[in-house]
Order: sequence, then C-alpha cells, then structure tokens
Amino acid sequence: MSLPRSVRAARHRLLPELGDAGVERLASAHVRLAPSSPLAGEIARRFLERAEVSVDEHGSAGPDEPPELAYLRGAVLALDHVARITGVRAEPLPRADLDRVLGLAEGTTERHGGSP
Amino acid sequence: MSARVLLVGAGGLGCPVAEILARSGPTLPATRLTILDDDLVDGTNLHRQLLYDVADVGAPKADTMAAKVRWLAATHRTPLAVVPVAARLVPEDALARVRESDLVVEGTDNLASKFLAADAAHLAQRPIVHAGVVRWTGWAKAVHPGTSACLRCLFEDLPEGRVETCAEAGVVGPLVGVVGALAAGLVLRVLRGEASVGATWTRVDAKLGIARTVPVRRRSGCSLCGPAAALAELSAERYAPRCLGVPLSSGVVMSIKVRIPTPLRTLTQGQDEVLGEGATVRAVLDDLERRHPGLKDRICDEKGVRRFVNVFLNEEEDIRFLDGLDTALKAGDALQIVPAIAGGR
Repeated sequence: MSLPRSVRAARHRLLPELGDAGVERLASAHVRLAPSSPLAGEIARRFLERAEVSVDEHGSAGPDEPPELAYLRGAVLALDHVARITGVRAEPLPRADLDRVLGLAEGTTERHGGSP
Repeated sequence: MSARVLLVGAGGLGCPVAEILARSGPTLPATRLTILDDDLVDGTNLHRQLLYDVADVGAPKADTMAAKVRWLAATHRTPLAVVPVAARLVPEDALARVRESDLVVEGTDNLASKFLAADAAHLAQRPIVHAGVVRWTGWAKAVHPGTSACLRCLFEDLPEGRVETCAEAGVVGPLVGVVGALAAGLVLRVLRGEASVGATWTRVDAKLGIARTVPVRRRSGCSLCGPAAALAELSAERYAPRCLGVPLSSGVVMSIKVRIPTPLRTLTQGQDEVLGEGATVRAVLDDLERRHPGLKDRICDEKGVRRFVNVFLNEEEDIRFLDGLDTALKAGDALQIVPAIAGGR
C-alpha cells in the first residue's frame, strides 16, 4: 500500500515556508550524511526519507552514543538539512545548547523572567 | 520494583520517548511504560512519527507502538515492560491514572490535555515531563511537584479561543524528533533521580536556528502550585470549553468514529473507519478535512450536507432530522456517511 504525497507531506504542505514547492524541493534533494554515531545516522536517514529526501549511504564518524543523545543529534542533522534544502535557514542549530539539556554537554544559558 | 511511566500521547513526541527508552539497554532501571492513546495511525502522521509505517495506517497507535517498543527493548536487552491503553486522558479518570504512575510524560497535541496532565500530576504529587511542538518551534520541560515551576507557572491557563495544532498549522517533521529526544532526556534524568532537572525550560526555534535552555522559577500567584493555589480538583468544564471553542458533554476532546463508504476511501488511505474530533457533526467533519483533505467537500456543500449524501448518527438518525451539522455529539457516538448508490446492473 502506498500513500499519495499529498497525504504523506500534509503537515509540511501546511507550513507557509514550505508549501507544495518546498515539498517538491525536498523530494528532489540528495544529501550525504556525516553523523556523530551510527544511531544518529539512522535517525537522520529515517526522518529525511520520510520527507522523501534521498540519502547516501553513510559511515559513522564516531562511536556509539547514549540513545537520547544519538536520537537528538540525528534529528537535528535531518532538521538542518530540511531547513537548508527549503531555504529556511542555512546555519545549523547550536548543538551544545541542546546537548546540555540531556546533562551530557555544557552550553550557554540565559535568564528568564517570572516573579519569585 | 519497576518505575511506572505513563506516556500520554503516542504521536510525534511519544515516538522518540518510547524508542529512546527501549534503546537504553540494561542500564535503564526496570520500567513499566503505559502508553495512553486512543488514536489510529494516520497517513499524515508518517512524516514525523517514525515508529509507524504505511502498513500501520488505520491501526491503533497504542498497540502498534507497544509492539515495536517491545521488539526494540528485547533487541537492546532493556528491562522495559509495555502496556498499551487505547484511551484518552480525561478529567474523570486522570487523577487515578496518574496516581498509578511514578512519572508522567505528556506529549499531547492540544493544550487542554497538557493542562489536564499538569494539574493531575501536581495534585497526585508526581513529576511530569511536558513537550510541545508546532510549525518550527518546540519546547520541553520537566516538573517536580512542589519544587520546580509547573506548566501554569509558565502559561497560567488555557487561552481563550481555539489554539492551532500540528494538524492545522503544520509541523516540520524532524523538529518533532528533536523535541521528543529532549523530552526523553528529561525522562531519563528524572528516572535517575536528578532533582535539578525541573529548574529549566528548553525552547527551540528551528526557523531562526535558536535553542535555549533557561532557568525558570515558580510563580507566586500560580493557581496550581502557588501558596494560594485554588485548583484542587479536575472538572471537565475547566479544560474543554475554552480550548475547543465549543462545550463538550464530557472529557477534553471527543473522538468520534466515522464510517467511510467505499467511494470516499481513496481520501482516507483505504480506511473504512476513521476518527474525528469535535462536539458537533460540523466540528468532526472539519477535523476530518484536516486529516483527510478533500473529504468534507465530498460530503458537504455551502448549504450543508449534500443532497445525495446522508449522515447518520449511531446508525439510526439522519442528522437532517436532528440539528443538521450542528447536531451535538457525545462520547461513544458514531457517524456513518452514506452516499446515494446508483446503478444495479
């Protein structure tokens, strides 16, 4: 059973930054991954293939990571590719800030308001 | 004794949380994961919900996720038991469900359910991990009852009027994985007993390329966890009307089963029965249109239900003889779409 692109990409088509044109650009894109670990590569590939981006076979640049970190880095990698392909953003998300949430890396913080 | 984790929502945020727990291996404390979701896998889910495939479309999410998570856990020798529950978190039983858990993970797609889970977790004095995502932005936060800022410290209350969901506003697929992984990281830290995990709030703006983890403090005027907190029980009225814009007879969001006739199944990926959410026939059809573009146009025109289509409530009553598209629905109701059949040779 296959699904039409209009269904598979329905949530992407709703985004004004993507629309049908962005969905088409993703479907015609081709990327080579440089993941931080095997699982990060797997996660990035799965997300990109769901967006119909063609993904080259990849080799892992690093050793295994904790699954929460590998999943995060893989999803970030895919997100950066989607943003770049669709022209939404060229610079990658700051990895260290995200890794820090997992308690596995240091990053920057900022103060947030709220009355005591 | 196993840690009992209640996962509310088996969608885009629930998928990474469940998969990461299952991949954690023997170092994960023995855990029983209860997956609470009454939805079915939909074709529009697949761009972001990696645990589901095309072959799963139409299947119950809780059962489908449970089967895949069990397989992953066995592969990685993770001590994770999985219990699927095909139900929604509703005010009537939220407190009981939360009390049966040691940690709540909330990854629902509507604010009413988020506030309901937050309130139930606080009243039951259970930690909770929240996550939310729509369009290009997302956030995640852990809450330790009584020590860290809760959801109502951040957002106070449900906004007036309807709030957009991913089904209406769209969402960029991998961002759901990013936020879900952040939530999973918070879950693991709570399970490891890190009390400081509730002190911050993480936000991601994937369009601007910003990710921030900021300290947040409890709000003295918080209606849930402040010194003069007034919220002491879970009433359906508190959650339903403002979020959905229409009154509900019970619960937060009602899922109504809708029987789809053969000619329209090309619009529902072959499914003969789908779920729509809403308190009236009109709201359910609007929701179905978001899930299955083009469907409502085949059923309705500008005047109402098309002349050659009948919509029956519970196999018995033509809604034309009730209140038409404004016919009120209650939990457990079902709709049947019945087009006129021509031919016969």
